[in-house]
Amino acid sequence: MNGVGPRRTDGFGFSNFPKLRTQSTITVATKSNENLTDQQLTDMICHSDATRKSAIEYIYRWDALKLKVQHFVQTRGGTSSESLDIYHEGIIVLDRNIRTGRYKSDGSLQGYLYSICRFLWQNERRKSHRNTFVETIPENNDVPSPDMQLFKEERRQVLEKVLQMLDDSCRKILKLWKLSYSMAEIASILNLSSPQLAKKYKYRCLKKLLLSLDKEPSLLEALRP
Amino acid sequence: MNANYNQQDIEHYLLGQMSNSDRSNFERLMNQDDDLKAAVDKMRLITDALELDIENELRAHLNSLRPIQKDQIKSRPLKRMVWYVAAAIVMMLVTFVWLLTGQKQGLDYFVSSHYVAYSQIHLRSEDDITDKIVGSKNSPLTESIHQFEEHLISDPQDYESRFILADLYKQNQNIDQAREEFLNLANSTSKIWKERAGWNYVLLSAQDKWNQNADEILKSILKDQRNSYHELGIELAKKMGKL
Repeated sequence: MNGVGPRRTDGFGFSNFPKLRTQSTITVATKSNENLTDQQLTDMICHSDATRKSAIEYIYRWDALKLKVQHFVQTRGGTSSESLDIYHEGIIVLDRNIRTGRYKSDGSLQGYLYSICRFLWQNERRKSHRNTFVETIPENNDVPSPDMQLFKEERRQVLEKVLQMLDDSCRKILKLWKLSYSMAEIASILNLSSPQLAKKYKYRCLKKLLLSLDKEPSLLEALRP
Repeated sequence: MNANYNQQDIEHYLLGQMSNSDRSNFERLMNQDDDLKAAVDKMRLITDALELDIENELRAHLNSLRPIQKDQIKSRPLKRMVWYVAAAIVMMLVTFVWLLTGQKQGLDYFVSSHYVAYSQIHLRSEDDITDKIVGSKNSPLTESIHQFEEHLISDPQDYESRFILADLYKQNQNIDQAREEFLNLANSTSKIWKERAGWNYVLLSAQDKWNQNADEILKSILKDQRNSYHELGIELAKKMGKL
């Protein structure tokens, strides 16, 4: 099973979840920007939009790991550019897993990211029929089901349509909420006068979107297996 | 909605902000209540859309960091070829020596007798076993492999699944991939999987492509009397003339 969820509190009853580092520790870590520990990086990703971006940029500069991923991809039929794509996608998964509490800090973050990249490339390679590393390729079995590919594309289009139902301000506030930022942080980022107001706006936006979805049952239907 | 849950519960569930026990209770309720399930599905559509937005934004940010010169480090095919040729010569020599001394047959038997297949291990929970066995028995082997690879993209710390995947690679005759996955797992932090994976890596390497990594792992097994494969390690080392 996964961990206990995102490492943040919003003042609305998540006190049983692990607390974040204090603001001052995070600020110091962002400023010094060298030799950040795994713990500091995960805290930064969960803390605020600014610290999250700093952490991502720091991770992006792990050149040794980038080279390792590049080596892995290039020795298995990929190009340098594809290896960078995989590194990007790996960071996106890493970011998501840290934010959603899926990442357990029982190994190094670099090792974790490397594993993600390896599995991503194996998945990618399978999709693109470039199984050059494996000597034995069973017939017909290495091709992803066209239905599954179609479903994924259709799903992405449906999700894009849902996003288009939101106006800019609602999209911003709900995105910050999805990133599990506290109402106080959301208020601060969006220059709202209080966390209560942020909470009210978030509630209104969500309600409006739910009502819009009621009018478009086909969207939900499209995602049913 | 009934009194057992509210909108906030749905949000906490979908944002992963519930404890494991609350989550299980909530899922039980969901299975019994179609209205709740419909409400969760609708809300999931929203959280998934927002996640897509977050990821697209991050993707754009990462692309802005990307160097203009994409192919900074060019591949060196000639150098690689030299290594391949060298590795091939070494392999041929090793194989020749083994065949000559008649050790291989005995070694193969030893490997097949002591290789740890995932089906021999007590897995962590009934639910997980069911999921995995369904994947493994009712569909082709490669389909199971694909399922595990996809699962591991989002949860590479699921060491048990990584072990099963490595074993599935072996069953599928992808020995190089099996060895590689066992080696990665042998370098992980999970003691129990590390030992098993390390042992399997040594066995598969003993059969084919013995190398420095295998040598080091075997040495660490021989050195550590508490290692579950210590005794077998001694036996293997003797068979290979390393003791």
